[in-house]
Amino acid sequence: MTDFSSTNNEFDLSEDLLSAYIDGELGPADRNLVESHLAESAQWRVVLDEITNVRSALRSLPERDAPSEFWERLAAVTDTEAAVIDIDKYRRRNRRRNRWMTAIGGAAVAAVLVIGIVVIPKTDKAQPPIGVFSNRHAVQAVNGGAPIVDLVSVATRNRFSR
Amino acid sequence: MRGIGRVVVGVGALLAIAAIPTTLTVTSVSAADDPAALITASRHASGNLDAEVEIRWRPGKSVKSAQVHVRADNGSFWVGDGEWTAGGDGRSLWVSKDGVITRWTAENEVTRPDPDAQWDLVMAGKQMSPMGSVIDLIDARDNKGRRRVRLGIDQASGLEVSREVYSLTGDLVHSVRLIPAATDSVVTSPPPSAPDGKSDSGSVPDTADDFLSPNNLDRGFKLLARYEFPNNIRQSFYSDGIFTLSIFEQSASIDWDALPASGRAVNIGNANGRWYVTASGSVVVWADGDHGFTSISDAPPDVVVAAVRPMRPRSLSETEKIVDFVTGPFGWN
Repeated sequence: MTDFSSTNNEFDLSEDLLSAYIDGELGPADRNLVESHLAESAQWRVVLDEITNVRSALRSLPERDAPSEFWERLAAVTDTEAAVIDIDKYRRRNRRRNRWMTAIGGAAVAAVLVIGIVVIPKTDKAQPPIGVFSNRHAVQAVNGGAPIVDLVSVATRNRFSR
Repeated sequence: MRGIGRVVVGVGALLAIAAIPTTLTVTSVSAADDPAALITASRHASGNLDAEVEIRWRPGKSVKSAQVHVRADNGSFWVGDGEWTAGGDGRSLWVSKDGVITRWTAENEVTRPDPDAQWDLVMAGKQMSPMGSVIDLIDARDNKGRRRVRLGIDQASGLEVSREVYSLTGDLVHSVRLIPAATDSVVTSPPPSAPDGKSDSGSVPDTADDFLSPNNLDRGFKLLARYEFPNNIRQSFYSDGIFTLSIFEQSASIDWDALPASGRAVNIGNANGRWYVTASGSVVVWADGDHGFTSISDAPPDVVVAAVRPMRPRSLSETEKIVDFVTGPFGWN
């Protein structure tokens, strides 16, 4: 490549600046400085020629349409990037939704348990008062029955003990 | 000839003596041709009786017994002479236990099915009571000819004074019978008067729709009356003509741990239960959902179980289904 080490310049000419000069992007002052350097330096004039030739060669190439798969690939890449972005958003959104669902589900389970424990009475268990029941049955049996035989058990202790 | 004449007179006297009990027997059999009528008459008897009875029951392999003094006087009766006594006149009854007195008053006499509606009744002979009176024995047999109960009707008082209940295999499981009274046990004091005390509830209309027990049970038991008591306890009273049976409903399941473990397992519909033989007769306890049922009857245990078995498990309410769904997996019910 071009060796600038021996060049004595205070302007620090560069290829980017030279490209801007070729493209007409420099102001008058900078353009004068570049032209001063090119006038004094044969090396930079060579560089200027190389850049100009390359650009001319590129511009001389025929224009071709890009193959169709190129655009599909490009679209796919674009979609993938978009999809990646959507998935991330989707995941974040899902995380938030899952947190809500978990919270709601937990609250629902807790509510059901509270209802089961507190609000809805649990199934009570009771010991049947067999002695009381026996008396009541005996009394009813006496009505129109056999008073002596039906009632005698009422006066019996320890009729139904554990 | 004088010797022959004495022999003829002697033989004639013996024949005459022999003819007396024969005549009595014929007369008695004639009066008791209809055992059903004899049983029905005993339920309205108003004769006098002062006796000691023994009650025996077989809760398992062992046999338990108790003795109770009984008295009857012109339609009124009393049992017991200690701290546990009971008495009345059929419709007005009282029970006194350890100072707690409860009175019942029946509005009407319940009409039972005929004694022979479900059972084959046969006269089974006679026996002498400890007081010297004659007791007519009546057997109630099932459709296979098995004796399931023997009733004893005292000819003197007209009262039923004995009852022997037999199991399906013919074992005596429960009995009430007169026994000789000890000299010092004869009560000479006037009969106890009906004391004042709290009253139990009366009957409720048969149309009450919150009873779970049906109008008819198996084995010919017909509903005679329903009663409601505090704590949501309901009683349905049945009879098949010979035996009586009550079903008590509770709005709570059964605390099996609080019951004697001696009971035998039994299946009532789809519900599991236990049955016991007690001084009061056959007791069957079972649970259906959050309701407990207790049956008390003087019938043999197998008859009671067969009678209540058609009580299918009722359908649960929506609330009960929710409770069952929520608490079921945790063993809360």
